[in-house]
Order: sequence, then structure tokens, then C-alpha cells
Amino acid sequence: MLSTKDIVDLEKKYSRYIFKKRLKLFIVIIFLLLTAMSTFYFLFYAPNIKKKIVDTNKVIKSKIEKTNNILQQKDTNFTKIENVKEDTNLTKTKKIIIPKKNISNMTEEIIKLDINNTNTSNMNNNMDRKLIFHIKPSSRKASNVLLTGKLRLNTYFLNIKNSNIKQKNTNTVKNINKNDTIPKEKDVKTKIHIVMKDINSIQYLKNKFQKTHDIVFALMLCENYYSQKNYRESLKWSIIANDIDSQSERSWMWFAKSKYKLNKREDAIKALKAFLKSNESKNIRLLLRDIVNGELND
Amino acid sequence: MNNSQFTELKNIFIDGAVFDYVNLDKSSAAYEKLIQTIDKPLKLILFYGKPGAGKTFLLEKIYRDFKKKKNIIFLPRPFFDEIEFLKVLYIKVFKQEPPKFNGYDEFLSIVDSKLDKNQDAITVLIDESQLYPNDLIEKIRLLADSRKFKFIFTVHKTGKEDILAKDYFKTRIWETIELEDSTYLESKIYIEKKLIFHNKFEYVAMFKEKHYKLIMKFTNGNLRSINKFLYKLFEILEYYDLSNPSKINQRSLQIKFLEMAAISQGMLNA
Repeated sequence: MLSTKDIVDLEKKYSRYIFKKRLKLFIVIIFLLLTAMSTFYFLFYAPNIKKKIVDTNKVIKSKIEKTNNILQQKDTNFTKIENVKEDTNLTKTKKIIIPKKNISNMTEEIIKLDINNTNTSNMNNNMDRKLIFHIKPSSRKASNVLLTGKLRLNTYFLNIKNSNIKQKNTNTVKNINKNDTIPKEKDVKTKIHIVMKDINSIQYLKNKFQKTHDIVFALMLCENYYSQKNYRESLKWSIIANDIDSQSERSWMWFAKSKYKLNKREDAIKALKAFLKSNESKNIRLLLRDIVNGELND
Repeated sequence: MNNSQFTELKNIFIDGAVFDYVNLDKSSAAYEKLIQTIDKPLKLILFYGKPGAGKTFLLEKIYRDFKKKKNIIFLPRPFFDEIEFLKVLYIKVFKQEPPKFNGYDEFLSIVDSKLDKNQDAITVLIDESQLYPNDLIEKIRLLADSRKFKFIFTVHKTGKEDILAKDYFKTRIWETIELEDSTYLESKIYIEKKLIFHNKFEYVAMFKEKHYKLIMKFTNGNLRSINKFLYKLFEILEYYDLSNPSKINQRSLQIKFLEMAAISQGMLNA
């Protein structure tokens, strides 16, 4: 028969065996769990992430396209404004350089103001313009912003130096080249040239108006003719604009200004007063005051 | 000291101490083959199997069954000396003390003179023949060539290739018979029959399928291993029965005790 010592030893060995057995079982269970989780991840979760990435890319693409459209619209508006003031074959070119030092301090406002200032200063020169933007991303963040299309001219930091504006004569007025304004990914690290060309043609505006019947083009034609001192045409287009939208403040203003220039001061005053009866407008009031006082300038 | 109910059970499975030939399918087939070869005019027969497969039991069974009917001799223990071997052989054949002889030649001439020329060859069952020295094996071969004797060599399977590789056996082994390990069902039948032979019917129900499966897993169907395992199992149960009976579930056999027996026998790595 076995002795107590034999049994005690055997019991100890058995306990060790059971511990090892359970440890092995535990390891196997953990391994199976990990395998199951990995399988689940690769089968179900990973494709969702890919899908999300694809969706995000789509969103980014759509945003970029949106930004492109906004840029195009801005350029078009810019052209419209220029066309009212200018009707010559001259084209000015502005080169805007963004200095590295000041990149972080640049804002959208600066570029807007500069463009406006430049426009104003050049309006009287009756010249078409060509704007060249040199944009260098200062950091990855900035470049990301650019890539995601949130910014372009919204939050991207720009600085414009008037001293770097170059003016060149050109014979034709061209639309803004889309490829020039929208940098591709690989171009982000390099200089980006944005060329803006004013479209300055009454014929162009007329064509646009015929196609769209947009009051904006009618008003721009008013402004354009008015600046050329062709007050009859200006008056005509103000009436056309007013037909489209009788509540358009600017159509009433151009009508009054044109009448005034055609020595029909009373008509101008009547018209403005008639508008003020049913509308409230600070601009109309100021114009009325100027006309009444005979202080209307160009 | 009082005996436990398991003491007797334990003793049933003492290996070699109790001759219980349990007729299993594989042993029946080997038995039939061996009987047929004894009747054939063959000189050398190789009977092999894994250690503990039941070769010795089968040889003993054949010897018991045919010792009164045929000229058959069983040498269960190995010999390392030629003279010693020949002396024992002489005693077994002629049932008397041998005369003095110096070697194989003298032995053969004495045997030749004493045996009838038309007498059938005497069958000699040699167990553990892988332990015999090579020169003695060579002398046995020569005895077989005399047609006075035919030998059934029993060897472990691991030694079979070595024996067959020897030149003098390559061309002389005329028949080989293999005894394989028991299958699951044979192992089960073996345990059941062992218990029934010894009138321990009530303990047959103690072993369920899961127990047999575990026993098969631990012993690989090797009959000697099964005997050793069951002996240890009942020895452990005997201890608890006498010293700590509350730990034993009388209705069924706990797996714990089977695993303890396997650990004790080195069949399970603790």
C-alpha cells in the first residue's frame, strides 16, 4: 500500500499538473479571443474605416470644388466691378508675394483690402489687370487647410505687397484660369501662381445679361456706362434693372444719378422720394441730399 | 491492517504475476497465425510487437495449449551463454540432465542420435530474443538448419529492424507475425474481462466511457501499461479508502485519481 508521504507527494504533483492545465487553457482562451477579435476587426471594422476615409475624401473633394466655385465667383465679381470702370485694352498685372516672415500674421482681410485698394487705385487708369499670387504654405497645418479646401482665400495667411505689383499691358481680357487658382497636392510645397485677368467688356456683360437675365449684369452695365459718361445708356440699363427687381436700391440710385446727369434733376428727386416712401435706405437719403444740394459728384 | 475493497482489485493487475489470457481480436489473429506456422515446415519465425503488447502472454498461451499435444518448448528468459542455452534446451527436450558436451557440435550429435529421424521438428518459443548475443543467435540458426528444431523468435518492434538487418536472418526468416497494440475497444474489453475473470462484476460499472478514453490516452492500448496503470489506480484508491474514505466517491470513479495514477506512472507530465 502507498505511504502517506507517497500520497502527499502525488497530491503536490497533481496540484502542479492542474495549475499547468488551467494555465494552458487560459492561454488558449486568450489566444482564441484575440484571434476572434482580430478577425472581427479585419472583417467588419477595418472596411468601415476605409469607407469613412473614402467618404472623407469625397467631402474634401466636394469642399475643394466648392472653394473653386467660390473663387471663380469672386473672380467673376471682381471682373464685373472692373468692367464698369474700365473699357480699354490695357491690362495691369499685379504680383503679390507672401514673405516667409509674415506668413503667420497674414489674414484674409489683408488680401481683400489690398485687392480692393488696388482696384480703386487702378480704376481710373482704365486698364485691365492681371494678378499673380505667390502663396507658400508656412506649415503642414496651413497646407492641410489648403488641401481640405476650407480656405483658399478664407483663412490662408497671405500678405500682399503693393510694391510688388507689376502692371502689364494686354490686348484681351481673359477669364481666370481655373488650374492657376487651384493648386494640386504636389504643388503645395512649391510656389503657387494665381493669375487673375479682368473681363472688361460691355459686350461681354450684355452677353451675360442676355444669357442669365441677372440684375447684377444690368447694374454693372449701368455703372459701366455711367463711368463712361454715357448717361442715356446708363439710364436705360437702370430701368431694365428696375424691371427685374423694383426694390433694387442700386437700380433706383443709377436711375437718379443718370437723370441728374441728363439735367433731369426733378425726375431724379421724384424717383428717390418715391422709393423712400415705401422703403428706408440710408444710401438713397444721402444721394437725395446730394442731388437736392447739387453736390453729386462722379 | 484491514484490507480495502481495492486491494484485491489491485492484485489482479500485477503484471506477469497473474496469467489471465484475455482473448482479444488482435491476439486471436496472432494466435491463429502462430499455430499455423508451427504446423508448417518453417525453420525460423519472427514474432514481433511493441513492448507490453502481449507477446509473452500469447507465447505462454500457445505453450499451455499445445505442450501436451506437440513437441513445444518455451524459453521465457534470455540466455547469454551457448552452453547454458544448450543445457536448458536438452533438459526441456529429453526431460533429463544433459551429458557433458563442449559446444554446439557435440550437442547436435547427441540430439541427432537420440531423436527419431522421422520425428517432426521441435518448436522452440524464444522470448526476448533481441537480448541474445549474436554468436548464440548464429548457433540457433544452425540448429534450425538441422531441421531438428524450429524457432519462433519474439522481439520488440524496435529491435525488429536490427534483427532483420543481420545477414544470417535476412534470408532465413520465413515468416513474420506482428502483434499490434490494442484498440480502444480492445483495451476496454481487456479491463472488463480481467475484472469478470476475477468475479469483480460490481467494479465493471465503475468504469465509464470517459474513464476508458482516458486510460486509452494514457496507455496507448499497451496491455502492460494498462496493467501498470490500473494497479497504481487501485493502489491510490486503496490508500484513500483506508485513510481518507470521505474523499472517494463510491458511486463513480473520479478523474482526479486516474490523473494521479498517470502522473505516478510518468504517463502524464506534471
